[in-house]
Amino acid sequence: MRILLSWLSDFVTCGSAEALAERLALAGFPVEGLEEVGRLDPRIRVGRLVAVDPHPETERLWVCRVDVGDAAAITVVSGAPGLAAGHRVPVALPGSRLPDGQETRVATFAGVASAGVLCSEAELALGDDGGRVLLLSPDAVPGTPLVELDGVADTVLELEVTSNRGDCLSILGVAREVAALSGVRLRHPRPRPREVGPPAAGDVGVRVEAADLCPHYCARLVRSVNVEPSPLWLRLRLRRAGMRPVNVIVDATNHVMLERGQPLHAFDWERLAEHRIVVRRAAPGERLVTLDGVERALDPPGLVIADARGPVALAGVMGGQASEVTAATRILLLESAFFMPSAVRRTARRTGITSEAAYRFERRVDPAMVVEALDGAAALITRLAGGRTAPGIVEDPPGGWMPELPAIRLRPRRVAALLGVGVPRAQIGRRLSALGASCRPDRDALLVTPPSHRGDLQREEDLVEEVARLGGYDAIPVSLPEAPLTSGEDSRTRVAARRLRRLLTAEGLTEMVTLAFTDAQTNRLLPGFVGRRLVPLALQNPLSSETGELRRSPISGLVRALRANLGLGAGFVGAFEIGKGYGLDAQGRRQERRALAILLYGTWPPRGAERSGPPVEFGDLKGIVENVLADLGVEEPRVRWRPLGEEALLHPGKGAIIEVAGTAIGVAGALHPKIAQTCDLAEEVWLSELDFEILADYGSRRVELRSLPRFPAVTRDIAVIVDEAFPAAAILEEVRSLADDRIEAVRLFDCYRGAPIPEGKKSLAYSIAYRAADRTLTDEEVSGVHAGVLQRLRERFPLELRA
Amino acid sequence: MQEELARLREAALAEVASCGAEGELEAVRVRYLGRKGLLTQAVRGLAAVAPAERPALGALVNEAKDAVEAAIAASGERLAAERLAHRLAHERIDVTLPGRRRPRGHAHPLRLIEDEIVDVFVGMGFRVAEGPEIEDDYHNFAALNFEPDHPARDAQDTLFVAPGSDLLLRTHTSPVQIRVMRAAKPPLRVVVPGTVYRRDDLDPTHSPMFQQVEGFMVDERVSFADLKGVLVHFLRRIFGPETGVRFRPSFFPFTEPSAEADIACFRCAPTGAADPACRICRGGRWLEVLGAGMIHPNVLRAVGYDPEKVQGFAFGLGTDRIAILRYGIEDLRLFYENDLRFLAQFPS
Ligand SMILES: [Zn+2]
Repeated sequence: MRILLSWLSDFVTCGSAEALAERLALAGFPVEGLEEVGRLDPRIRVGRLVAVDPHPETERLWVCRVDVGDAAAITVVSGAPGLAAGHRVPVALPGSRLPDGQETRVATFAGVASAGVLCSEAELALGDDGGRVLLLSPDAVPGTPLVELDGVADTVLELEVTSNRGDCLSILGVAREVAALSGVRLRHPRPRPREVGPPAAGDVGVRVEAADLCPHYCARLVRSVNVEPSPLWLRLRLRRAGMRPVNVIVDATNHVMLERGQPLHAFDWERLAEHRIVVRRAAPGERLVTLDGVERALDPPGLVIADARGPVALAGVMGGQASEVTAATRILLLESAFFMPSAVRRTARRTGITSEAAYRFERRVDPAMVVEALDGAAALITRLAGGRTAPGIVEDPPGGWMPELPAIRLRPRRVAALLGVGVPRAQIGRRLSALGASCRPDRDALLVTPPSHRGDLQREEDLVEEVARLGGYDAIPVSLPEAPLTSGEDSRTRVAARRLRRLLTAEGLTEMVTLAFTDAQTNRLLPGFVGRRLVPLALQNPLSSETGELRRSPISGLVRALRANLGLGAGFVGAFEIGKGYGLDAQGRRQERRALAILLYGTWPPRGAERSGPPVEFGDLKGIVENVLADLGVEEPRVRWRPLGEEALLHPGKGAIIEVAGTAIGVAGALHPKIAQTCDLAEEVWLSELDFEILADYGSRRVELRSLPRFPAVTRDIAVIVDEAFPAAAILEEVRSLADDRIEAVRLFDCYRGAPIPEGKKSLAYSIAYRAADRTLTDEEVSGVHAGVLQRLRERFPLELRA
Repeated sequence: MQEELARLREAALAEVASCGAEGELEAVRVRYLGRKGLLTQAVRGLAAVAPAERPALGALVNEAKDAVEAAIAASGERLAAERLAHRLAHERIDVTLPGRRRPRGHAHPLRLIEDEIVDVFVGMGFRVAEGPEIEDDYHNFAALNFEPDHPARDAQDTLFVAPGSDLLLRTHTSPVQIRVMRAAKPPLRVVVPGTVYRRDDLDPTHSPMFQQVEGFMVDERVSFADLKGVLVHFLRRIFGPETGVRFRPSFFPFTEPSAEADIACFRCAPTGAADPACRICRGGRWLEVLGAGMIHPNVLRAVGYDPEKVQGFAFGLGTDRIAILRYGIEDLRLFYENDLRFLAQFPS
């Protein structure tokens, strides 16, 4: 809401703009802007054209003698059309600084010196019209600096008005608030038109057929109007309030709306069939061309204003083109009504129209303002457009409609309980009375009837807020709650996330937070792990097709971030995100599950004096995942890496399902080449996604200590030659499965291909540590166990033992 | 015999003196004092001497051995010291060569700030709760006292999912208030960090996805003054102990009375005057940081509480907003674009 200080001052005396802004901000109306407007250079003056003659040499130039208040008239050359002796116009004397920063000077046009510039409203930043010289009011005194004319210099306060305070979407409403806050008197003139001619009722009919949506409809008839442009002051007010001036009739109704909060509409009376207004619900098949030139099919339960033929306006939202006021209009029907907020909101949402009128009706207008605004508009039109207002208001229901808001019982102890500080009853009464409420005592409480414009005051708590607001929130003390001393607690998932964040950053990975949206194709190609069985979930109203679905896997976000970073020249991307995958399960229920997603790409950053580190490989990714699991207490024997195979979550031949004690907990491997292709990636992208909810469970496990060994271990190595496809872990698992408690540990320490190992084969070397808990093992005993191990491996696998 | 001893002694001492390395000293020791050393054999030679002369000669032999041994030890020490001095004088590494650092990763600023915020409330006895991001109309709006056709819904431009259902992406973390209160009875102290969504294009000041932290406390006597106390404490923990805080009336359907809290611009406040060119407050002096209020009686009723018996406060703040202020970030998009050069500026 843009408030002009000069306009506000018509209703209330307010101090400096800054102090006013502060006061309003602290009363719940944040000030989004404070703007000085129309501060014109005083060397720009009112001039009176004494004579206008054609330039002796050049066509389309005029030589004007202009009275600028000095002893002698000055000569000004202008190329603007429509100049005539007697006009009052703005003259920028040499040296004037125009709002765009330019300075005017004496110039010579084909031999005639011009001692000033006649300005258009655009040049003075008072309007859009740059083609003509701005014509001032005929009573403007020559020589007066333009900045001193009424309404030229002003200050605009841009207020944010919350959706509960529709009553403050007007100058009067804000003035009322200022008066209540600062304890000054509100000036509230209620102009009424002088009524002349035959009564309106003879020429206008009004019938409301949908009283539930429109409890009150009023009309006035104004005859003999001249539809012309509005005077400067009116155009300035509208423009600065954010509205476009149209003509004096439309501008006058908008002026009243901005001033008093009640939207009005002017119809061309001659274009209303049978000069009758019917307020009703739209009928099936009805259509209307609205003021914006759009032909709209009306939806049947929506509220319309109709004449004897059909709809002429969308009630409270926008008028129709056919009955619009034009330059030819002579007789007006002015409408002022109370439309129910829900009815207007429905139409506005259906049509997508956002109008100043709809905005106010949706937030509830003041029923007491319906007639006052109608009278004000008729009076203003009579003054500005020479109209003659017909006697009487034609309305339905006859006699008007004025609902009384229900009284609310306010207990001072409720005020004290909610605010934490007591406010004496008398003071509560004074504060609420300042807002226009009527208060009367009711035992130890107050019965409060809100004023008609405060429909938002419905409950005791609403009044408590008003009491606090008028006293200022600063007046409420700062205390700490009295509560039993109990410890707070972070959630299990967040505790695990914080722990993994430390671990993964120490592994060299950077945490990312990516948008949860993706496009349909990526969502199909990148199912990830936690969302692999979910049906992708589309948004009904996405911002774009690229963000049309909720991702099934946070991997999609990491891959997008990878591309962005490669575009910025990154050579190594190591990233992780703890984020969700979303979708619908087989039963159609919404699912969202947290995952830990990891991405590795490129070559590791250099360690020490080297150009770069080694290229990232699967082992790096696996090592990180193993560390994650180990940190959560899940060590190797319980973890299995099973080749992905047919489950094409990633590259089918370069990926694994990770199982812990038989349960799949995630995947790791290379990005599917089909996606890698669409992304222009030169190298393999290594990805992992783990089910975070399962990880978080592991994290809550307790540490179990083992006693330290007291006897020495003996180590024996085994080297075997196997086929290339033979999984290295098979031997580890086999040795462990022997479950001999003298076998302490087994690990792979070498994997070798090349001479003298034949093509298609590889050599694997393992070392086995033997140890007993209660004695030192003898050489013979170790040899015996080791021989058993070798025997077992020879039996189970097609392998060749190397010496 | 005596002359022979004296000659051996002199020869040994001379050899010791001429040794230039510890290895040579050892050779001298072996030659004279070893099992078959010349002085050792001299002792054996005593057997051939007349018994009366033996004590005197024996003393002479021992004296000679002691002298040689002492000389060897002294010389050994000197040589070791020389060798060390030589090493110290010549052994050098280039300590300016780069370290073999393991790459260091970084935590995301939004997560760092979220943890910081949550920690302050956990320190005040709040328990963390979380809730789904795909919500329904009831939890996101209806139970929070948003009337079906109220313009208050406009301010929360909603992304809807799954045509035909009433599912939506939660526009705030407040639905978790409803979920927690329906499941538990007061007294409650709960803090809710989470991701929320609005139908806004990503630009310097908007994002379709952002982070909030919600908090609420319900008990028999929790008041607006307590709300002020808790939030002032929180804001001073986050922005510094001297931070100016003010509360202004505002409107939210789910609180009454409602408030917004501002902090004094930490760049301008210390200087006393607002700077119109200030990058942080643009001359406004105050920075809006959160919304709050006393939980609306309709909300309490919706979860089955009696507003005459229990009351409480709730607040919500934008994690992104706090991070922007704390780190002096001017473009919200930086949080979601994940440019590693940006992220690398944060600790791990
Ligand atoms: Zn500042």
